[in-house]
Amino acid sequence: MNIKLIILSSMIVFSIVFLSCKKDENKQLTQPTDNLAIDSLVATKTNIKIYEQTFITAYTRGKNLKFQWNANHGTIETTDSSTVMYWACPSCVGLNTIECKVTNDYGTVSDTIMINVY
Amino acid sequence: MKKIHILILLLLLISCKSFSQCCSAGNPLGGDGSNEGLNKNELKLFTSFKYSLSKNYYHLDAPYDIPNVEKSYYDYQNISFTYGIFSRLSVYTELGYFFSKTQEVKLTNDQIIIQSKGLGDLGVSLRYMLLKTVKPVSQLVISGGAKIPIGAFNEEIDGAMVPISLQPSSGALKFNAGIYYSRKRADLKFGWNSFLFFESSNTIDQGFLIYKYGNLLQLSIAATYEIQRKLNFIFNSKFEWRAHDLREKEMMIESTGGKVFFLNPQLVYAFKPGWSLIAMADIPVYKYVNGYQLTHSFSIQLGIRKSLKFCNSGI
Repeated sequence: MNIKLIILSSMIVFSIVFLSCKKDENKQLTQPTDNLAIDSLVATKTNIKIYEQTFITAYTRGKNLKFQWNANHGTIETTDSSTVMYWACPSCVGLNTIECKVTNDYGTVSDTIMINVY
Repeated sequence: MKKIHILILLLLLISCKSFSQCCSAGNPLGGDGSNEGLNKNELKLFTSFKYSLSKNYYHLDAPYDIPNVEKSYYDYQNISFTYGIFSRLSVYTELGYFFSKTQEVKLTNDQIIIQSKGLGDLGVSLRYMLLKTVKPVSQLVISGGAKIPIGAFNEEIDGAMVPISLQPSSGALKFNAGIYYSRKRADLKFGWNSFLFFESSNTIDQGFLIYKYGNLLQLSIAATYEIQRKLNFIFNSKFEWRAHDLREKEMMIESTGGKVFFLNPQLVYAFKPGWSLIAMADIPVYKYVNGYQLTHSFSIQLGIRKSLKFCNSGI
């Protein structure tokens, strides 16, 4: 009886963990319009040394915008919502992709910029 | 005897500057330091708290001055279950939670703190006792399992995703295999055990992120000593070898992987029947890294273990 209880409770715990940890699904992207668009992503430098910083600004259209930044390698620090600071450690040497997603009531759009770390 | 006690205390208090790959993403290898198999209907529960600190950059086997990263550390709570489902077969599961996984960086004059928290990976493995004897008490156990990335891998701060190395989950499904042997004569206070562990990772393929952790090989050899009837000391030494990580197009990431030799002293105090307190430390004494890497300074772990037996089953 005790064994069954323990096994059952363990299974319940792990099931809860599995269900509660479901990752966010990727937001469906929409076509850019005057209500929502990223015109460009501009970086102060696109070639940087390890631990050198570059600032990336998203020039956008639309109101009530929510920004989400993501890099495949390296670190992003938000300075304000439309501008971020990017730098990278030695294990991030190479051509890295930084993605900006912008969301409002009209949907989500995204753009990327490449930064080379050497 | 007094000298041995002093030596043990000194070893536990050592915090020499040393290493292992801290900043690498993923989850610490959990558990109570034991990889033994259990008899049928035996259950072992273990929970522990671990603090790990990484401070110094290394280039190959020497410190290298990169002033930007001040330190990197984590606070991690782990829980594990081992249950004997048959007389020779046990199942082991573990799960951990990072209360914080933090890196402090100094760029220009500003100090930046990047921090995340959340569930780590779920570990599941099977252990099969190939050999078990009573005189001497010995076990030969093989194990195989997986680490499943159920935890948080999308942590962000103010709309910016934290880097992969600071995500609580490794984000990758990993498979592992191990072989463990322990031996102790009942009339002696000394015993020993050894453990060989191999882990291989699947490739993470999420949008722009293509990443594969390098293979990990770990060899541990431990001497155990019964200080008193309820107090045991385990002097474990551990060699860890990790291959380079790979990114898109199977490009090798130079500043990943390396070799580390740890001392891993452990104290086990059985304060009540079935209950043990366990204290252990990871002290890297030699480290060789590929490229330039932030290296592990030390970690300490305190835990409590409960062993239960649901019915009689001979060894």
